[in-house]
Amino acid sequence: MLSLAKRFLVGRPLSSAEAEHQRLPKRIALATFSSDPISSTAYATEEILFVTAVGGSSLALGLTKLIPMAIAVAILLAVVVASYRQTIFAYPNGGGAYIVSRENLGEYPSLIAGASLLVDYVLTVAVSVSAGVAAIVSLDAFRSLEEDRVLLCLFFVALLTAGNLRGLKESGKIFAFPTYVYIVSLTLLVGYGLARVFFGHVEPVPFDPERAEHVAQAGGSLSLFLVLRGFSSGAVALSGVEAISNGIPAFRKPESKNAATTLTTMACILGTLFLGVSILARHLQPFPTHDETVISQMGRAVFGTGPVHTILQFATAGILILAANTAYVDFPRLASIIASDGYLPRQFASRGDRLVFSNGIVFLAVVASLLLVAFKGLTTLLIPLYAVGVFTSFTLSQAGMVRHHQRLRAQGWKRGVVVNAVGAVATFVVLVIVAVTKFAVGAWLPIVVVPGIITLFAGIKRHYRRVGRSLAITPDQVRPRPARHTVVVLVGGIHRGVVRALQYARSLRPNHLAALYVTYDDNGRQGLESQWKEFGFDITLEIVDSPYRELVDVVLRYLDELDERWGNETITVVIPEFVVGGLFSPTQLLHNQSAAALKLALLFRKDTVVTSVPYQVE
Amino acid sequence: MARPDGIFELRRTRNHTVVVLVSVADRRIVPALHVVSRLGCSDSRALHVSVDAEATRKLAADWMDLGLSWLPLHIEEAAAEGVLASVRRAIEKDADGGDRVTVVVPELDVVRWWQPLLFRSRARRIAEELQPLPGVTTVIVPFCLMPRGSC
Repeated sequence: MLSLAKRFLVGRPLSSAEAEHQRLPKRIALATFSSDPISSTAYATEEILFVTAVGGSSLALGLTKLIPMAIAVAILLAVVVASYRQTIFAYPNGGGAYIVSRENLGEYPSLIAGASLLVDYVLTVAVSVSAGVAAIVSLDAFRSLEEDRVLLCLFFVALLTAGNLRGLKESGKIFAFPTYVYIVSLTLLVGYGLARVFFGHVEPVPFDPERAEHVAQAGGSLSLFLVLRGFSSGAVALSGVEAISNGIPAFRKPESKNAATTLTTMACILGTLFLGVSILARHLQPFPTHDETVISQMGRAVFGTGPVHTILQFATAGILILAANTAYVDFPRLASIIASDGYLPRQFASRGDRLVFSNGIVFLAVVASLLLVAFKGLTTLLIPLYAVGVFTSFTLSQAGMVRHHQRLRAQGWKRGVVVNAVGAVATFVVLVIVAVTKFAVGAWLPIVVVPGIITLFAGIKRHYRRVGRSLAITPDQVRPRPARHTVVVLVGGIHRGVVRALQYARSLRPNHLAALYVTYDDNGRQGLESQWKEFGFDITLEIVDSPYRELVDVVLRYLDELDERWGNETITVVIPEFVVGGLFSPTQLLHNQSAAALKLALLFRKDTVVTSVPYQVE
Repeated sequence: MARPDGIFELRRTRNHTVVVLVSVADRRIVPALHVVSRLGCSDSRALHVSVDAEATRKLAADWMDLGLSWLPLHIEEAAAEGVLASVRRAIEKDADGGDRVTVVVPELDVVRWWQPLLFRSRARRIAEELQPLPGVTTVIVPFCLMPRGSC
């Protein structure tokens, strides 16, 4: 039943040979790996405004800083993408920040990068899904779902989990459509909106004093600290940019070239849309609230409350929820690489029936769900946790690439050093800004959690190393050891199960073979002796009295006596066992209770092998 | 119980094969190999179901280095249905001609509550998978991970 449900949800198993056919063409890869960064255009502008307009002094003052901040984020994006193009060609097998750091900076920097990325992938799922749900409840028709925000989030996490357990290409296909619908819808909003702003007329979003009650005291100044915090919020748009460099092996050949082209295409789309949304927001002056997203407010202003606005909202919800797919692709892949290096349980490194790293997918889903419940599914509460991990891994990756160029000195290495050094410095500066400006509002959490994860990594590695050392063997330990071998078959009567056990025992060709019957009274002894003769078994039957109806102690004493009698080096105790409806069926509990107790006792006896010979009862 | 002639004859001639399942060549297989060498059956071998080509190559090299030529190593590619089904299929072939087959499964015995998170054991699931096959007996041979006396 469980297996049928699994087949229905996950699909038929795939053979290893089918792995090559699971590779992605560029158009699907763009949707699969870029839904995370591109979708951040749906909330990055809003998050800047939440800091500079709501948390700052006034909407008007906040809006004046919006375009410069957006330009700064776009420049940062260009720097990071230029750096990651170097990484893609230098590391065609993928791995991203973790592998680059491991090979160039050493163990601990790579663990910092790995832990930061894993935390960030979890946050990607939580943030994207919560923002997607926010887009849905922004629609008038679904506003009543606001109270069930967390449940909706969990529903979408479950949906994504099932999609990803089905396999890479199929989930890519599922996710390509909403990604492209969103890109077209947002391009239409930005293009048509700006055309109306510059060549026609469009009313700004009406200002609702009730919504803006808490920032009514307009006229204060916008401090540098708030500007930098606003920039930190906008910088979350870069999260997920590294996904392509992690997943190069998922591309069709030539993998590196296709991955680099996809990365550049993604950056152009992301940069253009982010700048476009910010410029439009500057003119339409939406006010960020938890009731309705900024994109929805601007869509309403540009298209009116009609089908185009509804399509825009659904497309936004679609890409945001599916943006989490980038993390679903990369978290399990990165976890498997880290597990292969011995820093995570090896279960993360084994592929499931559909050639995906099922354990990583399920783990990601569980942790992201816990975060969504803990933070009530609210994007703004989750955003401060974000970005620290992203920029930590960016910095380590780019610093690693600088060392890589210096080490190998391949053609054009000096240019590579400059590009990656600029990337490393720029992302490090942003990391410091994010950590400082958002520490009090949540960035402390990853700053505490990442060292905890690194400690866990180190502990796991230490344990595996210790176990590895204790499991090492020498040829001496595995030489064949022909030994004096005695087999004892326990019999409780004569039936088909006992006969099968006797046949089995004989086929082991031991030096000595005996059947043992433990009797509680004289009647039992005489009855079995006569039956044994009647059946003509040519195996010695030894009968031991147990006046106090003990079984385990009597058998153990008998085995000790056999050891003395024959100088055994190994004793195999064969126990006939009924199997009723499967070895682990509940009906088994009704049978073989004595056998279970005996097996448990024999488990601790030296040089003793216990073998149950099953006999299926129809 | 009446004796129907012939049914309960303890046949001596039936072939008995012992197959020990191995994934890696380390100490966890030592007790299992001792069991195999002491059973004295007519045919014994090791079976490895390959899910990772690199791990399989390493196992084959270690097998030779450890002088385990007395126990031939057979390698089967994992089928699409997974490792358990592949083991079942291989053992089914052995038991096909009415031969008796004993499958020896090494198991890493752990004692700490968190250790199952780090070491996955399939021995019990393999036993369950093979249980319906006629003529097949599974022996799970534990290797205690902790120092003597802890397990």
